[in-house]
Amino acid sequence: MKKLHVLPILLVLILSCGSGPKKENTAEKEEWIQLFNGKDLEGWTIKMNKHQIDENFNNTFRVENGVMVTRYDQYEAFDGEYGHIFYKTPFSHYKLRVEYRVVGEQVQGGAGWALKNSGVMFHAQSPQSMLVNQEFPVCIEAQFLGGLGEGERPTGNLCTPGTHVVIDGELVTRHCTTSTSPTFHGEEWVLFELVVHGDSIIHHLVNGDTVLTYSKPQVGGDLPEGYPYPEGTPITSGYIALQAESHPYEFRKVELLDLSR
Amino acid sequence: MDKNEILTRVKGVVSAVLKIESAEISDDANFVFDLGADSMQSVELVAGFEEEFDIEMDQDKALEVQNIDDAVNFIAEYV
Repeated sequence: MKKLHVLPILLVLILSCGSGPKKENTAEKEEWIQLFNGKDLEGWTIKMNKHQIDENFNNTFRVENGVMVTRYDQYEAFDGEYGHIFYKTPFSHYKLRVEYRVVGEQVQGGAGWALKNSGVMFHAQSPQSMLVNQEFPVCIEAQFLGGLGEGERPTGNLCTPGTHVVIDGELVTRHCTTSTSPTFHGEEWVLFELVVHGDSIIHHLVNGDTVLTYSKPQVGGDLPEGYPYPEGTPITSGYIALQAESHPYEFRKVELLDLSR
Repeated sequence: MDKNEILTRVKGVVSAVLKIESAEISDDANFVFDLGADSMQSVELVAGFEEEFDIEMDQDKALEVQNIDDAVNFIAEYV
């Protein structure tokens, strides 16, 4: 009888010594890099359409109250000055967390499609390689849309300027693919997460739920003059950038867990 | 010196000059499009390669080299 009691106790001890503490240690070892330091734009490079690199036209990108924001209060009207703020180094395998929200009103002159529209670009060409007159980098975009007060308008969508991806085994060449996320009509903060494994699988998550999955990001579609890679070239890594497309947005957290190490 | 060694040392120079982790530098990475090198850094890269391999390269031709693979082949002609 004693042996029958000892065995379950041993099993419990083995399990508790084996699986439990390992999970905690793994979590403790996660070293998230704060891409945005909460104070200024150090480590970021701005490139806006019609402007040279590092020219922050009309102070579009700034930090207010510890939050990175895009603002249009110094514009008389928007005239295609699509802007991107790039983190300083490229990444290939990582988890990215961005907390964002849409605020205020779109500036006069903004396109209809750009209403409550921003996003995080990744696997992007460098800002140094963009042309002065280039609206968007070649990249994959996780699009941040806001609801329009009625109807569905999911966020965490996929857009593909100069790129294609594979979904369910099919090469997707349309520009945007809608996610399964809910619609956020107000100015609430939204947690967006990316899981990127080089030129393999990529997941979009909104408030903890996976809303889109695809794979094999590759060069495809309209490309800027001088872009060095032909259609079909796998994109294994690239820069991360936040977007300014004529509607004010705020980003209070931008952090990354590098999975390549 | 074989090309694998040249590749490793080239990536070391690129990592130091452009401040990018070596693990993020693919063998065919383009210095400008993929690694964000500006004109000043391109000159620094050439100088870095010359110092690393103790060679003197043709500056104009060296600055025409656009990616890691081509840099390895270019440097292999000197070592």
